[in-house]
Amino acid sequence: MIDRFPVSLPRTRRRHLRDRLATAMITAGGIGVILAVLAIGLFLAVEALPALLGGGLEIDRIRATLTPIAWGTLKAAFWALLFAIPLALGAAMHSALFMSPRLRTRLKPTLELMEALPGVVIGFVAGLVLAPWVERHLPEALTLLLILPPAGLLAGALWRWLPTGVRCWLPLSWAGLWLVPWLIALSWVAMIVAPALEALLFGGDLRGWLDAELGLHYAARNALIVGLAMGFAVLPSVYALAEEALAGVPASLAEGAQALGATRWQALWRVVLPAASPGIFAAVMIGAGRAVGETMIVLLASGNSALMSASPLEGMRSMAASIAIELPEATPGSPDYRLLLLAALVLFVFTFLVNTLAELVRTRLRRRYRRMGGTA
Amino acid sequence: MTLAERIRRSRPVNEGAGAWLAAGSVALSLLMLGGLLLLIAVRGLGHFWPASVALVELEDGRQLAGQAVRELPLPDGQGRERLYFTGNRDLDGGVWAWLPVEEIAAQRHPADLVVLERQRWGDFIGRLVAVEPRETEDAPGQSDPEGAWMQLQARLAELETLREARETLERETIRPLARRLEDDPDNVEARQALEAATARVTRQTAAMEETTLVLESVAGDRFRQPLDAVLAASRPNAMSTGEKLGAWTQGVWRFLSEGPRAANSAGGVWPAIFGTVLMVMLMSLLVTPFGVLAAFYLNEVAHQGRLTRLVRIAVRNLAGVPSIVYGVFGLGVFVYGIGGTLDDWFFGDSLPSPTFGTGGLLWASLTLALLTLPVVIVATEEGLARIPDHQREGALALGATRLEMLTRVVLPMAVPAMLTGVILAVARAAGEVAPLMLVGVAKLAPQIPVDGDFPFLHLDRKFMHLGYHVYDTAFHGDDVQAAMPLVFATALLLVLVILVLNLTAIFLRHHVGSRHAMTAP
Amino acid sequence: MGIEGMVNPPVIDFPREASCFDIAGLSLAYGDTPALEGLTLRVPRHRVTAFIGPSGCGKSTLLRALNRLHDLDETVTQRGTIRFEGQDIHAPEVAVDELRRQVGMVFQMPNPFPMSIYDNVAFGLRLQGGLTRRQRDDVVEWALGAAALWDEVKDRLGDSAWSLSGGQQQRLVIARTLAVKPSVLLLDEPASALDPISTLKIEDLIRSLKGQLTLVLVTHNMQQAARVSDYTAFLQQGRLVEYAPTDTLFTNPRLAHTENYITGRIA
Repeated sequence: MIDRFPVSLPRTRRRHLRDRLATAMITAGGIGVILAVLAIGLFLAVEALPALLGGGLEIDRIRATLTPIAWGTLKAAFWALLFAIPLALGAAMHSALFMSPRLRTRLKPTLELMEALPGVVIGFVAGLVLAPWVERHLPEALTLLLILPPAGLLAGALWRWLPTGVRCWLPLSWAGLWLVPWLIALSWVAMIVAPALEALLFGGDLRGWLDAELGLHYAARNALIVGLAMGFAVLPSVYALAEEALAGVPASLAEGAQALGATRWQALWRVVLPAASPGIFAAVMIGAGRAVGETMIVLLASGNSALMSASPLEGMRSMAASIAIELPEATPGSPDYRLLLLAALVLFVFTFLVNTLAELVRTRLRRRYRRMGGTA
Repeated sequence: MTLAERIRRSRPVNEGAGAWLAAGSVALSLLMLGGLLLLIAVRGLGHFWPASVALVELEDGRQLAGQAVRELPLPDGQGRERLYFTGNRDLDGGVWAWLPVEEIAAQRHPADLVVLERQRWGDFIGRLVAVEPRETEDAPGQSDPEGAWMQLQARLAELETLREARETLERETIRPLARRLEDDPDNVEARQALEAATARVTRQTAAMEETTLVLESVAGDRFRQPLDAVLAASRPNAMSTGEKLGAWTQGVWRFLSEGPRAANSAGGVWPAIFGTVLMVMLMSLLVTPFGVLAAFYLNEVAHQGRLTRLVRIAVRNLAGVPSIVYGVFGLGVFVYGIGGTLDDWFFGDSLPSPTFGTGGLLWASLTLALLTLPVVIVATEEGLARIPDHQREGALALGATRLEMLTRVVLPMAVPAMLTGVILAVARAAGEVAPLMLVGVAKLAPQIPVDGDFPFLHLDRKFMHLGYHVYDTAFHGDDVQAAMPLVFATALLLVLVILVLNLTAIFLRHHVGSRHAMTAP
Repeated sequence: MGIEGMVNPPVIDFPREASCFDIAGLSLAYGDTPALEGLTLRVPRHRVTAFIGPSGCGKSTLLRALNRLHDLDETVTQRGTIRFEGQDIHAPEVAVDELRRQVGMVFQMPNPFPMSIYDNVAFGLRLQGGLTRRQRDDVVEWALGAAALWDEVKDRLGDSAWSLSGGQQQRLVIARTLAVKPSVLLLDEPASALDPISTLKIEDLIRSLKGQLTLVLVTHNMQQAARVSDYTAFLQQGRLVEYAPTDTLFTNPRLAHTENYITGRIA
């Protein structure tokens, strides 16, 4: 059974050679691929920076071109986040701490699918279906915006006065599902009362009132529509990351608080949320990165006029949309071309920094949870 | 109060306002998602349902035939108006009619109203008077709508056969002959064969043009319509539900299998489906080996130091860089840089018109491959990290070299993760439009990039894409209103493709990965 | 007496011809953390040698040094020599995969590969190549028989190896190692994750293999060491404290320190 201990056989040598060759190839290929991916930043910098530093472009021109579209980008991102963050964080808190595990395992892939919806489809629906509808039904739309967010609150207030039997049928842990018909019913009510409200408060002409009293001009494709659509697109990724952060907080923390007599919500608000706050910050950062770079939704739903208006009822033009529209027409090497490349560089640097920040925060948070004995 | 009383409550613990607000946001998100999907599904699929045609009589005696689309309150709040699709662009100049509801005196659905789908001028809605040969110039005798309808259907079926025969002839005889002649202009035999074939096509075309239809709109305009421009005919009011279902299926099939017509506002999306699938396939062929290679390098070969950690974070972050930035890179480096150089070297005789120096299938696939590389790398790396070290040590302890350990133990275990990564990459790539606008998508490219000409796969050609089709038709079309149903259908198709891909990824993650995982001692 | 102060630990010695491993002055550190310090001992051929000691004493580290598994970890630094049958295993001409084939290893957690039972056992054979299908079948049957697993799995060789119980998996791993015909078998707490009955089967297996193979066993279970081993080495804090025939060490240890450990007075 025991052979002499062979030092090196020919076959072994061949295998070794193959091994070393393959390792070298994996190394070369891997480094090559990674360099190719990282080359994006390098390319943009090499093409755009000389124009900026070497004086190929006057600073005034850069300012005149980039300022409105930077403003438009930030405005669109602002409204999108304003819409997405409360919704995403609310959903994350509910699903991490209150939701029935059975519903949760189904909800998460559903929202993952929501993330995969292409921007062009969301933008098309926002720009060509939602925008004309809202233009025609502004009072109804605003009533919906006002009535739907606190709808859950109203349901909670009513729920307390339900008989015990009904309450058992409608537990809070399944509220994410049974509140949907409730929301539909409320929307229906909102559609009915909206014209009456308009007549009562604004003399039957909301748009005229907005124009006269607040000086707000209404454009069909405006920041509100973009915010709604892009918020919808950003929501799933913010939700996923925030949920991960909240669910990763060791259960012992919340249990400790509850053992002292806190309700689950108090435990969440006082203990879990502060512990997970870096993760939630990272989620918001990632959301911001996505909102800034989203192209198709802005292109289809914003009107693309380079205005510098703060009004949520007017349109804008974003950097990404400008690039998509103008770059194919620009001659390579021309000042216009370089300006658009500069815009791309700004987008790249901004999203890269924001994501790096978020990633670092997440890594540190995961390490902290592991120390606390969680399973993040 | 006793202790027992203290812990007893008449009402359940209320979690407070916050908990209910949070629950409400879950419900609101689900409602929005469901609403969006429902809207796309209903509007996208509903378009193919043969809607009944109404014959509307107005108070002032005018008559109008059309399909009711929707109803809205008038801007002044006094009453409502209804939108009809009336077709007949050649007679009326438009295809839509808004009618105040009060002015409608009567509305009927007579069975003899026909809807014709035509190659030019869009749909016709009205009555069929007669089917007759081209030569007869005299007015038709007595009208026999039922007989004419039977005749029309028979002729349409004939026409379909003729069309197919002509296409086969063109594809299988004329084009190869023309190519042979191009190579060898003195080939008499080929020239004669070509002439004979061309003559046959001319005869067939003449046979197709022989028949004309006499049509009459409900307003009383009578005109002749050559039959060969008619693609389909139906009488929706005379159809039973089963027949409508049949027509619906046929409509869906034609949408999937035909090319676009009338500036993309009608017809099908076959070239766009083909372009999307082909581009995504090329992309996954590129991204899979490179992504897996990079992941193996990062996780199995590289020195696990500070630099590797930094590179890993950077690669992860590139997944968050906006896709339009990748498009800019593709345009600057692939199209203008590499493509321009290739043109200078190999295609100098066709300059200044560019071959590879303009957007095309190859550059689009490469750009999207770059865009999705981080997705594949991250997914594969996660799979590799999940493989316990003792599996690797077990292989090494049996005398395996590193290559043998990687290929025989690690790679098979990482396959589900790799597949997940590739499918997620494909789902992302199928929905991306912004970078394609810069590197090679086309508004209209009815010629698909694969054909019988060498080299069969034309990497330099522009192609159509479902997502871009949605954008372009919705944004740049002449009559967005008329194109909307098709845009909805295209959007639905795109969403379905992506949905199926994502579900496959989820399925793989949950099931394939666990085939061997049974007893963890 | 602290073990740091020992100059000449009571260590049994074997003639070089009778020893399989000859370890001299071996020190090893993970980064800045030392794990082994100046270890010198010889492992006798065709006997069972047990390494015992408290957790973190370096016994597993020593075992893994014997087939150079530490090569994988870049943070490990090592001094001293290990000779296997007279050959320095760190010499440049040594093929590490051949060494590992000769010095087989069984780990604490059963680690069958995600393949069928047959393919697991044939894994090492296929790496070597040069066997016909028939010969390979024979070796697989022999190895499974030697590991006392053949009767339990002969009807389901195509099943996934992960469908076996933990004890069966561990015996499968032993069979897989035996199939490449090693001359040494290193066992790293092979029974610590198993139930008592499976443990007994593994111990029987160890006893039956002795005489044909050199076995080195790392265990924290002193009864196990006493039951199966011929010689026992007691390690603590990376140093060799006492090395003697098992009977002597357990019944009549030379050092009070060893006695304290085996009677359970120090953990």
